[in-house]
Amino acid sequence: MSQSSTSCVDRHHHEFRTYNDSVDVISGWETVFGVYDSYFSKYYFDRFPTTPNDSLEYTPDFTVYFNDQYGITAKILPITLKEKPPQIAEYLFEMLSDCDSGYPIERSDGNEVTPQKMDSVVFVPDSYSSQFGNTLDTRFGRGDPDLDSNVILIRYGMDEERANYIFQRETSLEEEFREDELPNEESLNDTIGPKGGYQSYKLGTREFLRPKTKKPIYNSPPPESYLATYLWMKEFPTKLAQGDFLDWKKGQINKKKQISIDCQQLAKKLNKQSIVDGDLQTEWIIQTLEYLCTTGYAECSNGSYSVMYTGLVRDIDMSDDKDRSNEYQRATELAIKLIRRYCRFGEEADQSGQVSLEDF
Amino acid sequence: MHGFVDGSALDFGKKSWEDLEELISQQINQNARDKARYKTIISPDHPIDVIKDAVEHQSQSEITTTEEEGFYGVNLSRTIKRSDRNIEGSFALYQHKDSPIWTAVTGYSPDFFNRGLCWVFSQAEPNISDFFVDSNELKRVLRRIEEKLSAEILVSKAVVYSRSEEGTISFRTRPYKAVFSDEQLQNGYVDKLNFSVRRQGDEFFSGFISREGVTKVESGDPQMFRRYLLGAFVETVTEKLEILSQRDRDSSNDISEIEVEFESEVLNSPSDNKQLIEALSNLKKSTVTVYHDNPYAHVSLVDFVDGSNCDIYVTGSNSVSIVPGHKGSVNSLMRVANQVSKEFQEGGLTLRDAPDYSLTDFVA
Repeated sequence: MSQSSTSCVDRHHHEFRTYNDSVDVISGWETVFGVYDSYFSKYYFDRFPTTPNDSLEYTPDFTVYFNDQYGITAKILPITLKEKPPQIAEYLFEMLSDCDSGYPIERSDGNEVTPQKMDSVVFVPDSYSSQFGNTLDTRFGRGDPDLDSNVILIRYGMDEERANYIFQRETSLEEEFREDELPNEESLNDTIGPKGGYQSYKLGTREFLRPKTKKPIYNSPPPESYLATYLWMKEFPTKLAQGDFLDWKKGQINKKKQISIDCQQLAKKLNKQSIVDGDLQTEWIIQTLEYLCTTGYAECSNGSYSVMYTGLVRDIDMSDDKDRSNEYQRATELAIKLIRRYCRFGEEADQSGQVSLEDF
Repeated sequence: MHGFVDGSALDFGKKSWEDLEELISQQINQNARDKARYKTIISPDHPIDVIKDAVEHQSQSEITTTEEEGFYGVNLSRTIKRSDRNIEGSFALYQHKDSPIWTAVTGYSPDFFNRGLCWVFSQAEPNISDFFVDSNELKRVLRRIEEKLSAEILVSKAVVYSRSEEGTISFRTRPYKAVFSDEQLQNGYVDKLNFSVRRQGDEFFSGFISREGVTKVESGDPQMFRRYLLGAFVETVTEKLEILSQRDRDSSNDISEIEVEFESEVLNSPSDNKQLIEALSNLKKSTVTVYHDNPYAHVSLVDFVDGSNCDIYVTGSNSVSIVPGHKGSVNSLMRVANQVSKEFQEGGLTLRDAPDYSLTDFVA
């Protein structure tokens, strides 16, 4: 594999992991805020809030509705390779300003309301949290931007030894939750805030696995490799008939067998059945199928896509024949396999000017 | 009948289960080389319909069934394509009360047992499912027999697999408990045992038990073998089935979390996570996606046997959770749990309820 291809693999795998980490963080905080569910009749944690302004670089990653008096918007800032913290701060200011002028959030009955008081929680990676806190403090100090909402800065990182995400208030920005509406016995400020001595929260797989399994996608467009693995593991198999599995079992794997995908229908199904109350965009699915086309596992003809699911199954020993098992290579983990193929074929296409899959 | 006494599968007309067990008793006690071979399986639907349907799809295979008193008779003939060899024989199949657990028994040769009887069930996967009992469960099965019969159980042959070294076969005759305290079990598992159950020198029965549902009675009373050994086996499988059945998310969108708890802290480092991931990616007819491998692990797995999927999370230094997807068949969950048990570490299965948290629970 060429050097550029290696960096392509690293870059794509970094995006894959970063997105997954953000899903972990959001899922963990869905569990944290979930303690309020029983206190408020229309409590709702929305990981697909509407975009306040299409031209914005950032949109909130989730919102929490408690009642008509109090709500929260939240943003997870990335462990980024692309943008530097000052640029990230500018994007964040734009988003916060836009939300501050009245941002309706969803409640459990499906209606959207703008609570009287809204705070914004910003999760910033350990690596630049202190510098970032100072930047925010300076700018807010001079009223640029001048916000009604409090901005609560929480730094996050991984406790390598205990395998938990660790969250702690970044105190270089001294703004706290205005939690008058929240029950006294479940006070954020008494634990993670000043009254609690800024204790940290630890969130591990036990805390986030349930919301993550239900909703492994959030408001930001997922990297194509990430959505491709989700579709491959959980959605595409539902398009297969029992006869297909029987054929595979008999070793009759039809390499021409394809799964036809209607991107709009698939988006609808995902948002209704698989990721309930989801808001996956049809565009994300189209981009992912284009990605699979580059890997050679899908084809596009006149705007409709076919996935060659059996392409992968053919690489895997489906027989019960011990004598033949040596004929098969061990299956590679799917994300890396797709990324490597994308980088290999995508790069070759760039270099040779090939434009269609037929050329491969 | 079904290979007993006359060695062929002649139709004797209506026979009761008691008659069949009498035949089994005659055969195994008159000829020291003869054995009755049993295979226990899980079949939520009626297995006769399922195996007929599975064999219909196979060329050069024929199956006929009869309904007897309290059991079914199954005649099977097939030709193995590669060798052009014909396999022919019959077996009896009976249900354990109203459970989805059934046991087949034959007196035919090991060749028919493996390439006929077991082949039929493997063709019917995932509608008919294998199961596994781990070392602790095997020990529990034998302990139940020991307690109920106030008997002594001696193991004459034990096959123990090690994950770090070659597996070993021991021909030492010793009390069964000694097999389960073998040092190799710290990183391995008991695969199969030959044993005899006796009280003060009188033998109740002697036989064989394996972790994947194959048992044999070699001498003694087949009725006691069925009642005590298969009975204890079925109790153990029933407990496991309750944990693994109907755990997919189709009927409701609720999450089921099946926790595998290990006796020691086997997930303490990134290399431990790697070993677990390696074990999962070695599961036949499946593929995995690794979402995270260090310091915690999250793997998603799709099973090409029937399209089931699940997520597997490391939840602590001694626990892993398996979360079935919208499709998560018993067959698939059993395969995944068995794979973890064989290639990573044995652990007990439980259902973990959704926790009820307070903010103080999150404080580090």
